[in-house]
Amino acid sequence: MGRRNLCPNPAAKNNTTGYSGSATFARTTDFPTPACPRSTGVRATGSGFIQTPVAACAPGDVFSVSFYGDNQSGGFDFGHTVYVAYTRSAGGDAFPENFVFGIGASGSSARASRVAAAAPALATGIYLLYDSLSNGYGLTGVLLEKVGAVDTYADGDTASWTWDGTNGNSTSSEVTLPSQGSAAFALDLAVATTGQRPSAGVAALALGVAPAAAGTRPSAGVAALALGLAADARGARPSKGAAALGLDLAVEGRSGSGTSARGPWVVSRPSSGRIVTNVQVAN
Amino acid sequence: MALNQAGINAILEDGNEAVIWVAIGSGPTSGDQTSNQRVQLTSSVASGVITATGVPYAFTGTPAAGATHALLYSASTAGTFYGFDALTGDQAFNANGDYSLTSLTVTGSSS
Repeated sequence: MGRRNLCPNPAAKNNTTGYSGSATFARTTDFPTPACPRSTGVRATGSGFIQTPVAACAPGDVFSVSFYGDNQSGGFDFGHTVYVAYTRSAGGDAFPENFVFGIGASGSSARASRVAAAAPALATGIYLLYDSLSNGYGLTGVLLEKVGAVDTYADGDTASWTWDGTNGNSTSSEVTLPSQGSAAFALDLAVATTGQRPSAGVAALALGVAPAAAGTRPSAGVAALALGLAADARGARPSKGAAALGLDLAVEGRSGSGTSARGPWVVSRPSSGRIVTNVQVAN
Repeated sequence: MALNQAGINAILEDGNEAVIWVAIGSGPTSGDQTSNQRVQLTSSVASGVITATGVPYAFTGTPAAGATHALLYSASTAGTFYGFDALTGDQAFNANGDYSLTSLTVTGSSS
């Protein structure tokens, strides 16, 4: 199975749908790349916390969670608390674990990540809460992935990924391309010299291999004579026109096999007795 | 071996109009088919080469099942086995059980 980012609005590509918090915040397009994976995100314009959109989750699910923080506050960031939070079917949200995430100097960015413990009972969703922010702190590139190890950030705008629904406002999935291959068959007419004769002319037209129209392989150097056979429909005996060339190619029905001299020509007959398979000029 | 005698005769009889179905297999025999289905070959011909049209042909099968050979038959099920050719490319169905045959050619020669 391919990867999935279950955050339904991971980088505020279009809007801030799904984000909330006690801090006032706004969508901005000033996140530095490639330090951050996307230039869009959510940035605090006041003090308080911001929480990410919620990904669907069930009790026992193990998620790896991450986001990119960007400090444009004008001060050094020694760290803020990030809570791994769960919505629940009863009893209110749960905040079973947290960690401190520091970005450092103003103007810099960093990634916060964690493999969360198994989701608690009654869990219905998972999200991150970035606490105690002040004006200028932002987050983007939220990855909520149901796997046991943090992976690189990806969403529907990543190569070989697609949005599961609305572009920018849905979960996203890695596209698993089908395996693929090709085949090149060789139709070597040398293999077809069993005396079974196909309909005359059809194969010659389709494949452009007129010498083989009689189902046999002419000897080298007598292609011109063999081509005469292609016009010879299905009959065992070539037209007399061929004989006018000084050749008697009618060998079907003759007893014996092998070669015999006819004037300056040598004519051989296949054991199947159907058609001439070898016509050579005798030196 | 590529086309067998039955396959050669079918193409000599009808050229690129021969009714041929292609499957994906894990080996060279008629019983090695691993794709769930066969796809009827449509083709054009030029300069002695029959070239499949309408590619890629999509096949489904068991995830990770072998996909080492293209197998040719006279019918969508059962039928006469016309031969095989080793596939160039991926050698197994992907994790979703998908395989695409991107090209297939039959080249005539008399050498």
